[in-house]
Parts: sequence; structure tokens; C-alpha cells
Amino acid sequence: MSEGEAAARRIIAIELRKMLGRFYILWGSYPMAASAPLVAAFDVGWLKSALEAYVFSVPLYVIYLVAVLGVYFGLTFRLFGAFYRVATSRLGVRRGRWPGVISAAYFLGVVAMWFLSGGRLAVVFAAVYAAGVAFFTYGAVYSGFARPRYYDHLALVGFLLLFPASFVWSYAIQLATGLMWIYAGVKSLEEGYGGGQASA
Amino acid sequence: MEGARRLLDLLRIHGLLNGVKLGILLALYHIDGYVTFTDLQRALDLPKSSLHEFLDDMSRVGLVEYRRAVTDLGVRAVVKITDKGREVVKQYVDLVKGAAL
Repeated sequence: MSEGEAAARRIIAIELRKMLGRFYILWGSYPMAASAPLVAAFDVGWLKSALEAYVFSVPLYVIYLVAVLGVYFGLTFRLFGAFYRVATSRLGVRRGRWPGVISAAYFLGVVAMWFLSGGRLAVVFAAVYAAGVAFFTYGAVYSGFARPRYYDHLALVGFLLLFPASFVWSYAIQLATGLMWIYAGVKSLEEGYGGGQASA
Repeated sequence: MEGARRLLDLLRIHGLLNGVKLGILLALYHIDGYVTFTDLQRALDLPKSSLHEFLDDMSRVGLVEYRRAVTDLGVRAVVKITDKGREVVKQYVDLVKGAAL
């Protein structure tokens, strides 16, 4: 029985790393998925006007963003659903304390950022959102199934710092975080398809 | 004692006394999707022929679906748990809990 459960954990570790890879690539592509077709739609102004006048009563970009978010969140729940099933099962291993430590340190950072941004609420909301994303993703990374890698930290610490900062300086920063996530995704998939061995 | 005996019976009836087969079934239950033969082989570090034999056995008794399918890496042999396989894992989990193993 213990041999069987150990074998199951090895298989699950590889599949979870691949899931993490898909998750990183999925959300890394979000800034591009959200902005590129939107720019194209605005370039075809007559189409936008016609659609808004005769088809939709709400602005086209709202419909577009909701549709894109729907797809992204749907896929995210699917990915994390699998992780939750494993983590709460008999096969689950004890979670490390790092997600808690990182979150606590981060909340101190949020307060600092709030002061730096001159008390802008959007920055605080962005920071809280980033903390939530990082907390759950670190939960998966430190679950004992996947091994934490430098690209996990690159993606998640980068997101924690840059996502709120994009509300202070420029939304273009989000494209940089997107690229970091895509990089982490590619490395995770390489690791998953390589049988759990991290590539250099 | 009774729980342990029933657990042993369950594993014996479904040909799961082999730890690798049990591991494959448990993993497939939790992943709840297709897993490629190549990934299983990498994870378990088994010869192809042995793994193929295990999967064939499990497929014959209806615990898994074992076939070729189009994946993101091309056509590959894939495995997925069946409803019967899910039921067996649920019984396994209940019996393990009951037997406090």
C-alpha cells in the first residue's frame, strides 16, 4: 500500500508541475490576450460603433474582457481543482510554512507601497489581489508534490512587486510580468515533460 | 482486523496487490484526466514492457481506459480512470480510513 501511494505521489508530482506550467502560461498571456484584440477592435472603429449601436447595449470592451476572464478563470479553477483534490486527499503531504511567511512579509510591503503611492486605493487592491494569487500558487508550489524552483519565485515575487507597481507607474509593466510568467510556464512544462527534473 | 481483511480482498479482486498498479490507479483518480504512457514511465522508472503489461491488465478488468489519442505532443498512448476505477478507489479510501491504516 505504501509502495502504491509513493508511486501515486511521483506521478502526481509530474502532472502538478505540468499544471503549474499551463497555469503560468495561461495567465502570462492574459495582458496580451486582453489588450491585443481590444486595440484591433478600436482600430476598426466603424465595426465597434455598429456593434455597440445595434447589437450590444454595453461597451464592446466590457463584453470582451468578461469573456476572456471567463475563459481564464474557468481554466484556472480546473487546474487548481486537481491540486485541491490531491492536497486534501490521503496522499496529501504536509504543506510548508513558506506561503504564510511570504504573505506576512508581503502585507508589510503593501503598507509601505500604500504610503509610497500616496494612499491610492487601486494600488492596495492590486497588492491584495497579487497576494491572493501568490498565496494560492505558493501553496501549490510548497505542497510537497512540486519542488519550488527559481522560476516559481521569479513569476510570483515578480508579480507581487510589479503588478501593484503597474498601477503607480505604467500598465506596460504588466506585459513584463506576463513574460516572466510565460518563462516560468515554459520551464515548468520542460520540467514536467522531463520527468520532474529541472532544466538549467 | 475485519477492515484490513476487506481491504486486502478489494485489492486482490481487482488485481491491485501490486503497488505500482495501485499507485497508477490512485494517481489517475486524483488527476481525473488523461496521463500519457511516457509520463507514467518517467515517473515510475519502469521498463516499457512492464508498464504496458500493467496497463493492459488494468484495462482488461475495466479500471482504466488505455488507448492512443492526440495530445499536445502528438499521438500518444494515454490512460484515464474509468467509473469502475473511481468506485474502487472510493472503496479503498473508505476501507483505509475504517482500518485506520
